[in-house]
Amino acid sequence: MPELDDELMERFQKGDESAFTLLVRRHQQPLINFIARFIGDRDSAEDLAQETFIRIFQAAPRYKPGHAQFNTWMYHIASNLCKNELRDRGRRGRHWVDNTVSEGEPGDAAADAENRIASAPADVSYQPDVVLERKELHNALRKAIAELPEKYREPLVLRDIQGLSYEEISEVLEIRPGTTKSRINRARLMLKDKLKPFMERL
Amino acid sequence: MNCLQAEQHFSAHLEDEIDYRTLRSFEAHIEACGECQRDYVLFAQTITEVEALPQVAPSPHFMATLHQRLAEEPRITVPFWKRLVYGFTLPRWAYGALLLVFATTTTYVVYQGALFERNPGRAIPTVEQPRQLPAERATPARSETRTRGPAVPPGFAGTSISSQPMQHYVLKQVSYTNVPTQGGL
Repeated sequence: MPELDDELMERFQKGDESAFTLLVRRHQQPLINFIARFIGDRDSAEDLAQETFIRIFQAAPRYKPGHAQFNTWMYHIASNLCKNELRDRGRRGRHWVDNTVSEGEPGDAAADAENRIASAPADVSYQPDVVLERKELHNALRKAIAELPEKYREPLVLRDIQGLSYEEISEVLEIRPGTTKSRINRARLMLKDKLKPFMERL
Repeated sequence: MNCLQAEQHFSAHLEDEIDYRTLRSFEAHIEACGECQRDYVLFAQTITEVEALPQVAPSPHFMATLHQRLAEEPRITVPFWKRLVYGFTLPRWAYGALLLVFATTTTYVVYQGALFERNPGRAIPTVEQPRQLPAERATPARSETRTRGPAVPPGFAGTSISSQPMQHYVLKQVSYTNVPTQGGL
C-alpha cells in the first residue's frame, strides 16, 4: 500500500530526503498538467512546477500533517505562482502562447495517443478524418479554455482536468463552495458556447 | 423555470447534486424546451471532451533540473522554539481554556499579595496553623498531649473520657445505661 502524502511529509521533516523525491514523482505530472492548462505554456509550466516543489521543500518544516491536505496545499502554492506569472506577462505585454502540445516529441502523452491511433486497425474512431477532427477539437478546446477569464478557468481546470472535489477547490482558491460551483457551471457554459460549432459537427 | 434558470442547474443535474423540488421543475422545463435539451446534451459532451484532454507530461529532464535547483537553494531551518510553538497544536478552545486558567491564577496571586499589603498584621490561617478553640488556648500543655478525637467542650475538660479514643467512649456510654446488649451494640 503506498504511503500517504502526509506520511511522506513527516518522513521528510525527519530528514529523509527520499520521501520528498517520492512526493515529487507522485505529483509532478498532475501539477505540470494543471499549470500548463492554467497558463497555457508548457515550458513555463515546468519552471513553475519546479518553483512550487522548491517552495514546498523550503516550507516543509512548517507543514502540519492533518491540518490541510498536501494536495490542496500544493495546488494553492502553484495557483499563486501562476497568477503572479500571468500578472507579470500582462505587465510585459506578452501574448498568449499555447505550446502545451509539442507535436511528435517523445514522451508527450498527446502525441503518443495520436501515434497509437494512427497505427491502429480500421475502426471508425481510428480513421484519419476522425483523428483529424478530434485533433481540431482538442486544439479548439485548449484555445477555448485559455480564453476563459482567469477566475473561471482555474476552477474548471481543477475540477474537470485535475478531478478535485468542490471542497478541495474551495480550499485551494479560498472561496466558498457555493461560489466554486457557480463559477464552474459558468465556465462550462462558456466553453459549450465556444465549442458549439465543433461539437455539432461530431 | 425558464431557460436561463435551467442552465444554472446543468452541472448540479449532471453531478446528481440537485434537490428534489428543483429537479422536478428542471426536468419539466427540459422536456418542454427543445433548445435547452440540445444545450444540455452539448454541455455534457463538452465536459466529457475536457476530461479527455491529453495530459501534459513532464520532460525527461524535470527531476534532474529540480534536484539541481534544490541543491542551490538553502534549506530553511526552523529554530527550536518556533518548532515547539508551531508543533504544539491544540484546538482553539483549549488555548482559550489555558489562557483563562493563567489569567485566573495570576489575578488570584496578585490579589492575595495586595491583601497582605493592606492587612500586614493579619495572618491568614493555613493548614499548618489550625485555629484553636478558647478552652485549648487556656490549657496548651494538655492540648499538646491529645493526639486523637474531637475538640473537648469546656465542661468535659479533665475527664478521662476526653483522653480515650471515640470507640471506647461509645462503649462506655452504652454500658452506663444498663441495657442488655446481648454481645453487641
